[in-house]
Amino acid sequence: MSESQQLKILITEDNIADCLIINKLVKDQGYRTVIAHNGLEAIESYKKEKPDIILMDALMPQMDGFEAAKRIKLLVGEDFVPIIFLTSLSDDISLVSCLEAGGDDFLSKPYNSIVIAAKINAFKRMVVLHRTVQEQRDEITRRNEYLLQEQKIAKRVFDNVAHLGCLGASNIKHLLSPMSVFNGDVLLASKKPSGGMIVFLGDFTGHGLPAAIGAMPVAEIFYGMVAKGFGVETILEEINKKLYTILPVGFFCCACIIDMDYSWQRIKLWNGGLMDVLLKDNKGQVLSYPSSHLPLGILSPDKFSSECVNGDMKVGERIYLFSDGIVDLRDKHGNEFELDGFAEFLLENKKPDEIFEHVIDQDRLSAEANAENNDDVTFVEIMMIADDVISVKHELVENSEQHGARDWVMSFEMFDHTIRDFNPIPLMLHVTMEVPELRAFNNDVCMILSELITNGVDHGILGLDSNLKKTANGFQEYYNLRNERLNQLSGESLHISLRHKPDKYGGGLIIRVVDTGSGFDVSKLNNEFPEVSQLSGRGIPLLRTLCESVVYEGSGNTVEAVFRWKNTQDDTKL
Amino acid sequence: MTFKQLETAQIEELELMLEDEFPEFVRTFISHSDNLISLMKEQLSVQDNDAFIIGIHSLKGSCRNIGAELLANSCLEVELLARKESILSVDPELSTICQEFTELKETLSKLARI
Repeated sequence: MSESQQLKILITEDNIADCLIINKLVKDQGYRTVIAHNGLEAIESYKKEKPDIILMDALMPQMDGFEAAKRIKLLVGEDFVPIIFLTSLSDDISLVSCLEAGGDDFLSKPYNSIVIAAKINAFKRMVVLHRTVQEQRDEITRRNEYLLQEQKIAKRVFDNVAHLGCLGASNIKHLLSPMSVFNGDVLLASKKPSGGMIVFLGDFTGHGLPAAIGAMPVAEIFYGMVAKGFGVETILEEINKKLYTILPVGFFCCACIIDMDYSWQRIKLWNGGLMDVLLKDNKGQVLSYPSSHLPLGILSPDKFSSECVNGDMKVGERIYLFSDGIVDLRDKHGNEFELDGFAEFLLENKKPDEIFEHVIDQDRLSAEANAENNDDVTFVEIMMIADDVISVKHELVENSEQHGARDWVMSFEMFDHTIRDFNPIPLMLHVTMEVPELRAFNNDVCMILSELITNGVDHGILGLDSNLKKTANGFQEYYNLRNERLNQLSGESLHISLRHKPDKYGGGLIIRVVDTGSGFDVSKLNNEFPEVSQLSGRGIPLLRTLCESVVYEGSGNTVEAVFRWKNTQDDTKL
Repeated sequence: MTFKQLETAQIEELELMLEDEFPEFVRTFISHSDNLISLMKEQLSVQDNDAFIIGIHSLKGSCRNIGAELLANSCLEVELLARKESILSVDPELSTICQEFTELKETLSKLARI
């Protein structure tokens, strides 16, 4: 329609003489014309010829211009086909009828070629503009559909990577409310192979896809490292290093990580840039864990600090984490969420089971309240629970993999500063998982290894008294002493050896840990079974539940634990 | 040239625009208007108010287009009469309109040399 010749104009006029004049006038402007002599003909012509502009006489036999205009406007739908009424300006009443019928303009008799040219030109520009807008709108719609389709596929991949881990656990309640397909908030939770759980809440700068994309490496690192038995500090350092490398300047991730230790009823927490984490204890007090670090992805690895805060958290106590979006969450009265208000509410609350629901009640989640949201909202409640039920059943495993290392010995020794700086558990787990059948017992093996190694370092080499940990304040003293002594290590070593051997029914893993400490009275321990409820005596009974045998030798510097598993397959195979 | 029945400027512009088609246009105008007038007389006799108004309105419009203001104004008077009062008040013979149209025809024929 760029050429004026291509513009088609429908002329509806019953008077043949007038029709001749206007047809000539329009044709002289270079437009194509189609003629109709009454309203009915005009409608038929419109359907057949699809004109761009319609000139319409008002009074005509059979069907007048008003009725024809109304019907054509219905047929036109969302297109724009201007209708210009041919009428005398002196007919006041009919002018109103023209407008009511959907007329866009008037041409009065006697016709004037300049006026006609100007009007048709003006409407031609509007028609072109309207079509351009429609084409662009359709193009935007098509692209948007394509984009949404792509996002849906990407979201599936994203959800598989940044999955919810163990967020379904009974001691976690959470609300994740993304403002678009992708969520700039990332909430991850994973059970530690050694028992307990680690929860990570991250809030990336911005929202939607650009914010969400950073969550993928975070989730990969988090789940991978937790499963391998790495501690929160190492995980944080790794995540920070990754985000520091990949995020553009000005983009970062406010985050909080909490290591929940069920057996010691302790938490280890790191908060970098998130709102205060609040803990309501069983005495009714509310403890606040404010941010004490810069968000992840800002500091280079050498400047980054993964130093965590340690604290008590008894069974039944609850801790609350929020992403910044929560301040946009309004209730139906338009009141914003306020951290101080929530802390007060926590303090006064007597029904802890209802706290979470109070914050995310129907008021706040109503569509109109959320319509004003301009950020992703995440709210999490985690309750401390008693120790996980430890799997003591050494379930029979399917021998599915023929290849793998089943008969080997490995020895590892670390000295002084390495004892302080290096966590050998991921390495040990990595090796033991080379036995295909042992993978099913990843958690058990991890727990045994960490107990043996912790005992070897803390009690064997550092000579710390586990009785210290019986009191809440004792914990801090214990950790202070531990750090102090770790820094003074000289000439000490911890030797770990692993031996895996297939047997008639499956296989056995023998773990020997030898420390250079001064040892202890073995006879006392080997005969004694401390009560399970005693916190600090937890280690040895746990080991004895999991292992076939746990024997301290010599002066107590050497311990040997045997973990045995059974195979479903015929024993002849091994 | 000046005519009682015609606005010279209007008809000259039409002649200029239509060029060779002008005589044909004049013939069409005359025959179409003749036809309209005889139809209107029939409509008056059967008292078809709506059809009569469409007819007189159409004649008025085409008269304005060629600059026949005198006849156009006569048509307007009749149209208003038919609209506001009744078709019964209209002269059944349309004497004034017929008279003026006859004069207009002569003038136009001379102009178009037909």
